[in-house]
Amino acid sequence: MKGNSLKEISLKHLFKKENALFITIITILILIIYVLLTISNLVIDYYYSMNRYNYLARTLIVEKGDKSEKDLDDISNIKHVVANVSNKYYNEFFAPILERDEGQLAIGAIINKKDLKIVKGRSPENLNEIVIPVKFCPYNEFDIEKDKFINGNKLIGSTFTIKSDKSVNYNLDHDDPKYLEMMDKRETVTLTIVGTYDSTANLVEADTAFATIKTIDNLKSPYHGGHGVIDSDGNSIFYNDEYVDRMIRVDSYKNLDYVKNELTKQGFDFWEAMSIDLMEFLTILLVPLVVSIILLIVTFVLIKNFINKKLNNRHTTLGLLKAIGYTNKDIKKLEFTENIIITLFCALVSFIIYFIVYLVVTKNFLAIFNYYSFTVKIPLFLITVLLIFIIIFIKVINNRVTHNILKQNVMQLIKED
Amino acid sequence: MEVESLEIKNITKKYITKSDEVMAVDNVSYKFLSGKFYAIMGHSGSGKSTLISILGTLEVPTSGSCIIGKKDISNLSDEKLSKIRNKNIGFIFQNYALDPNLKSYENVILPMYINEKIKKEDRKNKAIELLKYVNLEARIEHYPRELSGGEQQRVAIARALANDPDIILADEPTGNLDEKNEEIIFDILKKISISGRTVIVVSHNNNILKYADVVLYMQNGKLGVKNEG
Repeated sequence: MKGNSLKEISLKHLFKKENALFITIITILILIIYVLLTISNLVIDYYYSMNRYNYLARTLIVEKGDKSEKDLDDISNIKHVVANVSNKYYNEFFAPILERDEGQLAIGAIINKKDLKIVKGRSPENLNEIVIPVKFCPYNEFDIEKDKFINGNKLIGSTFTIKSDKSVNYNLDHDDPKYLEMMDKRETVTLTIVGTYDSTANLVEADTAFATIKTIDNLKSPYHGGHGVIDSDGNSIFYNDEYVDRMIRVDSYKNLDYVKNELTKQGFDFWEAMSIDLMEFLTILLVPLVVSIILLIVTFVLIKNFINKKLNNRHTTLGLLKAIGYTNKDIKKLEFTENIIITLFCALVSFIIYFIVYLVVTKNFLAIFNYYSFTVKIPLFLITVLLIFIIIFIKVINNRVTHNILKQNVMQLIKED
Repeated sequence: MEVESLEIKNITKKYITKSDEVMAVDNVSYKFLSGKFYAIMGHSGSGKSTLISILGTLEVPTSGSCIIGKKDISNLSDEKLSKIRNKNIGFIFQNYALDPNLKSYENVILPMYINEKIKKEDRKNKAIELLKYVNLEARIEHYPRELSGGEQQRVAIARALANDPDIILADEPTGNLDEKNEEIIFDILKKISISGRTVIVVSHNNNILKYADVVLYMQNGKLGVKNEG
């Protein structure tokens, strides 16, 4: 009963003109902190997710060098290695979809079934079968717009027609008539969509389909482009660059270092298919985090000043409450309730504005993240921690200021205002 | 029938400053009876306000004891003293001490919030009755800023009566009022004492002598009886 009474009294003191400026400033500050926390969380989340979920983060490209094919095959015996294939399958095969006026399809090879989380349908088993993302976007990332995503599940059973590069020799000069003739005579291949996969589970771009190695062999040129030299007569010569290196997939990002150590022991040269620079990330992270902390300190200072001013202007009321029988504990609780309601009101209004901004921005301006199958999340945990800090701070300041006021002579307090 | 409502025995209150020791109340003993109107007079600095603070349990004496309703409250905790204040004592202050954010009836209800004996649904009705008692039925929904000084003090009196206390303590209740309003306030306080409560008023105002049953005088911390009716 006493608790409800205290709330009743608090509510009558709350939304007065003199609180309006404080409410406005704190709402804006908390809103900015929410935004900065979202940016910080995005940076942390992206770094963590790419390393944990993107299969390229646990992929190594091992150079053949002077090693034999058997040496390369024996890499499969290293613990935690789950796939050992030609580096032909490292890059996707890109091709325009002939039925569509614009956009492209990227097709990657399935070298380890666990890399894909099939949502509907099945994994490709036969030649020219593909799976596509549930949220499918067959466009270039620079053309990304929010309404260009297609529900992949609705395309199961349909087909795409593309041109195969199997018969093309990339080592030829691109102005060479033979090269042009090869490009004209490329085989048309019909791909059948047999299922969809969850691209957010491995953070693959939304334009990427997957197929068996046999399908990729049916599509990609055996040569991945050459390098040129000038002969003594001044003529350009291209050398064949066949795919001779290997692509190694490790079962988990945690075991990458182990495999790297083993490869080093065995004398292999290798590089990581995807390497995210931690220092770069920390640098990006530092800016929003530092600014959030500064703004939080400013918020705390403002809250402290508000509480001080409010309580010091209420000596008569506080003295009166004491005189009519409220205990020090009751009075502290009353003031705390008022201050918390005001601050949480600010936090709620901030959150509503933030949420609207979040929806608008993520749908309209951050579609690029959707293209990379990455969701910009609301940092609920960080926001909760922020609010807990604020509540604790208010409790401490409130108790301290109220205690100091109530130590004074009650009659003197009542006469003061 | 007169009953002893409040007794003080050998009350002393000393304030120790950096340079001095001030004896605000010096070994004061007195028995206050129900149904009587007491005036405590004296010059500024004589210890009147300190005495009334001690009578109202707002200050703890340096030594001595205070008995309210036959209960020695000398060594009680803040929580218990607060309860006694809430149920047994009503305060009236010179500056009215109304909450500016509450309407008249809401100010009167304020002490009732922490009195479990008064149900929530009865509070407003009781407050209205009390405002009628002090002739303010037309000002129930007004805020203090919309009331005159005399009206505000009457709201304060109604608030002091909220929990049916046995004792009313008033510190210079007419200090900010004109003569006409002084009389209105003293009339109400007299009415309250006749109803059976103990009314103790600290005042410089000689008009109080017309109303008081007993006139006490404070000088240099000591209490004397000027006139006992």
